Amino acid sequence: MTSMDLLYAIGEAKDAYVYDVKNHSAKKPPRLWLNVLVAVLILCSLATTALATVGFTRYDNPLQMLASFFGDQSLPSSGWQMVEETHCGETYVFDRPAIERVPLNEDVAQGLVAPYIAGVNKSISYGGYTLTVLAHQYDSATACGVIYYTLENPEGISGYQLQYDGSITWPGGGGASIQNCAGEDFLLTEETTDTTLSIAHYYTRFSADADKDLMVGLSPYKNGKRMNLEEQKAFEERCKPICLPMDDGGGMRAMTFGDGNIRLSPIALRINAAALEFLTPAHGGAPRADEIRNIVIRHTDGSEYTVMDAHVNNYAYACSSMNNEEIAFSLNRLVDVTAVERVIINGVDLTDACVMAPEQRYRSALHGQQAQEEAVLHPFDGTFRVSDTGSTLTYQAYTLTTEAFSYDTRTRTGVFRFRLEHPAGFDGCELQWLDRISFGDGSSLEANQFGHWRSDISRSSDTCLYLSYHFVKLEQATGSLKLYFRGSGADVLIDSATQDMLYYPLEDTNTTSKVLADGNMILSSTGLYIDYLALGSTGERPAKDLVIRFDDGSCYVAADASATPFAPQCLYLDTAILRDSTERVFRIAFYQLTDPEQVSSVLFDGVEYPVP
Amino acid sequence: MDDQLIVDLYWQRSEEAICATAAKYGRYCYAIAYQILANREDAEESVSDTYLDAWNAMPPHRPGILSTFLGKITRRISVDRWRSRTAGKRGGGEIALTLEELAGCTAGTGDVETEIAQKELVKAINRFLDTLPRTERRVFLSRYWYMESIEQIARAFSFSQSKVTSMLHRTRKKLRMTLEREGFV
Repeated sequence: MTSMDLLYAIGEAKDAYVYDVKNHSAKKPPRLWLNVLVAVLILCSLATTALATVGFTRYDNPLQMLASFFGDQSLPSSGWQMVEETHCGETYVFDRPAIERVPLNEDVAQGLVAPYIAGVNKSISYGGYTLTVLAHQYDSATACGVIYYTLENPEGISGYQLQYDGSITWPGGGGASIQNCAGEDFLLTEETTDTTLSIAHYYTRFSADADKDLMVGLSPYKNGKRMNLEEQKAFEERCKPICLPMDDGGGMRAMTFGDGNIRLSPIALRINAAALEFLTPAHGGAPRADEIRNIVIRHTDGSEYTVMDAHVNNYAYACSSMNNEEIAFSLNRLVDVTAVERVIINGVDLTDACVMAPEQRYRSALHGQQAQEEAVLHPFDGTFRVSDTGSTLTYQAYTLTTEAFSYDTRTRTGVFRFRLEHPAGFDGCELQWLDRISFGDGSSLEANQFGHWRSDISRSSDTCLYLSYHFVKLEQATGSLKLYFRGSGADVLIDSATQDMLYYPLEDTNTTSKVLADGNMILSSTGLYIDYLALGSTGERPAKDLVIRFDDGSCYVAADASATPFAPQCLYLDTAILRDSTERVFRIAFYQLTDPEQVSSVLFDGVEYPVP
Repeated sequence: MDDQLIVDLYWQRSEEAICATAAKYGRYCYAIAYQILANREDAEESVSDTYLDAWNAMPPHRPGILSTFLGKITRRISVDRWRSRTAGKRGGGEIALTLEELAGCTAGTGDVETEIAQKELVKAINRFLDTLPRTERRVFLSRYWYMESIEQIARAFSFSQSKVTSMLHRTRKKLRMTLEREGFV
């Protein structure tokens, strides 16, 4: 027997065991209530963006903050050790990397860092908790930053767990909810009391977040339980998140190494691994961030700062992009970038130090008032034909009432809006990918095209949900949109001849569409047609960038491949996957209506196509 | 679309079955294939071949868990493709590392000679998996079924990488003992 025989045999493991692996770690279809919560957060973001102000106010007590964040005053040091942990009755032994903290370098703090910390001093309160953002520092050289905030409750704060490295987690939910970045909270123990947590939030951003401000709010979860809809509405009304513009105060001094692929600022390090050949895995493939085994920063005086190696983690927070091409480290000490001679990664010396040019920085193009405009959706209900409003479909105690419908024959995309009512509410209900709303008892509402459901929280209540179905008409499917309830245990589709189905002929209702890219792209209010072969794209998916830019400078980011996590705001259909398809194109259904008359260009796979 | 509906579509010989499969499980299958092949074009071809195999298998087959059924096809096709590719010395993929690790559980010589012997080996593997605690089994299958990297597994289970490595080492040792006891090694 060879290891290949064994590999094949493992491949025939019981289905239940194989399923169990991904049932644990794979993303499940979102629960309806989770969608609702996300919608609440988006609405909170929209409402609060208006609070953003242009201008940079320096924080008035930077040294104390920097000593806590980048010194040895608050966060713990520890040595490398072997640790035992018990899971499921089994004891496992593993190693825990050392963390070394050093005293604050006050010269660097004063000269290179303190002038770029913004004072914020804004608070929000809900349910006895008060969150106050004291200061914020954004480093546009590495797209990393830190937020300094407190969380207070006069009755005491519980529900969090302090980890060995000083970070904290909230197993049952709670704490702060920080949007548009990836980061981690660290407890500043010297300033923390029973009723006030003092926290440093280290974060990094990837390109999906590039044009968004940070939104710092309170978590809508408590003790692992979601709020009910009424509570959510009150929460949304009274607890709007604090908006932190991505203002770098002019930008800290920063250096680049490795032909610009390594960026080093006093507080963070960012590595474009995809461009560094020596990070190619031994067994082949493209260079990857997870091939980094050790990083050393060497100063001109010969001293070294080991950021990481097999036994040391001298950073606060690290995060790689979804595609493993980039990685960013929030450092646990300040680096004097004026005295760095080289960066050494996996033993490879990178000595080509250059001062970072302003145009290399990750500056947000949109701040303050502009950011508010960017966040505004572009509703265009004028394209809807509403003559069918009032049609209803019932099943048991469920009632579906149509609101509006739109379809474009050139892009073969459409939207169907409706409301769904049930006097007992929708507990257990899930919007499932694709084409199905499950009611938790085995019954469901289904549609016959290729589509995705979206909910509108602002209009919904516990007993009435406002929903939309965004779809692409399948090449082989019938020329109608059909919606029908499917009872539990039913094993055949409901006959279209009965009264139990809504049946919409897919006739053109869109009023305008635009032809771009020499006829290889068609834009309608509900979607987009792209002949990707003609445009020279490989058609590689998960989706790459797709951005609709409007005349007023705002945009609709429909997809961004480097988002963390990847969450396209549109529905892609690659017709190449259809057997006997005569096309090799993308048909894309938008999640928001888009007036083609207001669109200035479409950015697809890095190329901008202007609307004539 | 509900899995049962997708299976129904295969049985009705409706080509919508392929589209629905691709929409719902395309990325899942692609992820499995890419872990093994580390090459976009090869992974995409493996996924396309998976749809064809599924089309040919249903009917008469009616899988209980569609995702696993498709995943197994993708895995088998991808391993086959990797073998033919490595014959041309192109290498690559997490599979090379997993094979190295599994080599410690085998005698390392001679292919399993008959289909019957291979089936017996499958049974032995399943008996072995029956004996593992759930977490250990999931980590083992993440590595040797899905061929995920140690880093990916550590992230998925919120374990440190050294802990994953340590768990896998213990499990491989147990597997070696089981295979020895059952006469495979």
